[in-house]
Amino acid sequence: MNDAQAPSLPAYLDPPRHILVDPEVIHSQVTARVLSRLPGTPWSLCRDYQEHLQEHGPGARILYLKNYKGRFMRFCPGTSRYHCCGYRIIHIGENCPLRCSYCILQAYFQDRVLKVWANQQDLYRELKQHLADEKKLFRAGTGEFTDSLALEAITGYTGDLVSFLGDYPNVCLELKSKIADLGWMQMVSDPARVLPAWSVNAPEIIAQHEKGSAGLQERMQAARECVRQGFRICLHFDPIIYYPGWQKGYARAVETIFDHVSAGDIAYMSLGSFRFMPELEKILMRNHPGADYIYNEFIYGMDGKKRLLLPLRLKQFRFLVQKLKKAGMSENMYFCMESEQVWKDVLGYTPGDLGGLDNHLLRLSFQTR
Amino acid sequence: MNQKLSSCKLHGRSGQKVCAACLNIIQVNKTMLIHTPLTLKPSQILEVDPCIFWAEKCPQPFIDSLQDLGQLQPVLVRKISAGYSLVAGYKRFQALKSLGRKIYALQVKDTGPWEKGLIYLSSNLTRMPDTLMMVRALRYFQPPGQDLQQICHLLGISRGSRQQKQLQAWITLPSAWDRTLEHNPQLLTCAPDLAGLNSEEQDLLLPFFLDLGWSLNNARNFLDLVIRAQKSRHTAIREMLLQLQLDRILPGDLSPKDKIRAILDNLGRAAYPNYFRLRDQARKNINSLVSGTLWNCIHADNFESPALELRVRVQNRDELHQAARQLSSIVDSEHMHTWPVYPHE
Repeated sequence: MNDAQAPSLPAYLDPPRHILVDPEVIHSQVTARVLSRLPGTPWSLCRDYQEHLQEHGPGARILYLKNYKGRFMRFCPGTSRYHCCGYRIIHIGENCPLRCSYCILQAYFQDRVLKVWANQQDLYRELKQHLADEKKLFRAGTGEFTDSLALEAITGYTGDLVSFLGDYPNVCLELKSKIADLGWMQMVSDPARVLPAWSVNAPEIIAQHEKGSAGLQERMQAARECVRQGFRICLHFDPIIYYPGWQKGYARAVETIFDHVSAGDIAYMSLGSFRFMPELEKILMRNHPGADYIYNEFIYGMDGKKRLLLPLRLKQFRFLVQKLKKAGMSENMYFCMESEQVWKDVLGYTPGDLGGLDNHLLRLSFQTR
Repeated sequence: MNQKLSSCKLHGRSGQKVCAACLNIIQVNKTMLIHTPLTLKPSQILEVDPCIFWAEKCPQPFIDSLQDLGQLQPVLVRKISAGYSLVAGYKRFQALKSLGRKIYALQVKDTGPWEKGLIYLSSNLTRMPDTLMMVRALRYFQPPGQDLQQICHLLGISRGSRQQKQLQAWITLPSAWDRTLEHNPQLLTCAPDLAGLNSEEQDLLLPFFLDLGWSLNNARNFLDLVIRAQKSRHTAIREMLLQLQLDRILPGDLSPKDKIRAILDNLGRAAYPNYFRLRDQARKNINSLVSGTLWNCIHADNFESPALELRVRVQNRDELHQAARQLSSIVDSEHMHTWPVYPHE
């Protein structure tokens, strides 16, 4: 790459070594923006993705602007026999430039190519169909198969999306991220319909196992700025990791959060213990030899995924919930993928008491201050 | 690559074509052979070259065939100071030697170990190598440090396949490990985990694999638990084996099956202490609940729920009555005052 032309990218975003563009999206807005923001990065039209992948190797830093032909709006895959939050995914791309050791995407996808669905017009067409009935409310998000904002500096995708959704007051969009990019904010017409969200964790977990991401302070500073601009935020303690000294680490995380925002600023907060498809285990051991937390007492859960032995999970949940309640959190806390018994035991209520978790979260997301 | 391989005549598959790698070998052989046939006494072949990495004992039917029909194919030899060194045709050489017959041979030019290995392999291309044979071939070609891709291709190993990765991991282990493949070739799948250990750790674990016949599942479980137990105890494998007294179980008097059970149980308790504590307690509670009855009771959810499954097998109405009475007394039992499985402690 020509250094003189090197774009000024945020520290978490290493410029890709090559950009592949599907011929069908060569004239799309996203493609034009990416190519203009990465002027020195070589790019080529991609007629055969697999061939290019072989040429560059599966680990190469490639950005692929794809003409996506699948469904853009989906249900969260959830899991059987545990309570899912029922959120709708707006699928905008796959993979993530951050290097979180526990990331499930390592097992989901066979390569690390950053894929962006550059045919936004098709996305909008599908969204229009789904969102046409104004009386039907949607809680949706883009952070399932990628970080909602990690590529924003080069794609501007979220800015486009919030601008489009400005015409649809029946959808509340959650932007789940581990970085601090607020560039999309100026495109929002109604802050009540966008929920900036951050994954939060103990500071040492962030430092050691969320490489490339923003520190907790930085995330919470961005959260505070959102609150100042009239947004409510969401936080996700997920994945909660069991490690020596976790009490101290998670206590510090709670303190840091409430040093920056108050409980009333938080639309909802989830808690989820580290759980994974069994395939991830070996990948994680190979890719991240320092991630010793993988050697904890993980058992097969009732859904076939691996999860920490229940009494150990409960210990962490009770500890965190106690701290969070003290800080003013109440029924806007929920568990991601836990059984009713865990809810009752730790939170004192069940999804049923709240009228169903998806309904409850929908209400919370559309609540005004 | 596979397509080429499946149509390669020399690989013994259908089709007429010869794949590129084999053509390469044919070229090597053409240029390496001296086309003057030799007739040698067995005593003139003084040594067997290490390139014969698949040397195996000559079976009697083969000797009988040579006796009846004579030698149909030459062996390959290389000239050394006072005689010859055998490069290919080990079984024929053994058989003819035992029959006291002269040996028809072709001479190869003096060449390096890589080329000799290729000549040997090319003269054995129609054999279907098993796991151990593949390991032996790859070990032979490994020291010269060349790209093993060509050799993998000749052995019928797909490029980038799991098998290739496992074989390449296996040949990083000391060759003493190859003995374990003789009885259990499936152990190859453990190669990536074994290769991740240092040589001292590999040496410590080798006796467990040499002395005991592991099923593949148990072998994988054993390795997984060794690593987990070591990590969770923050100790070296040597100390961990001593602490768990696994070094005593191995030479002990238990049957091999019981040794394996004891080893896995000890390791499991070290790697999953809380799980085993819950399991022991639950088993105790469940036993006091159903012992002496027709009922069988299990907890199958790994303590994700307190659920129990009660089963009964009855063959007539009387037994059903009996089971119903027993179930009723189980419900009212003092052991039911606290639910037998309670992970929400």
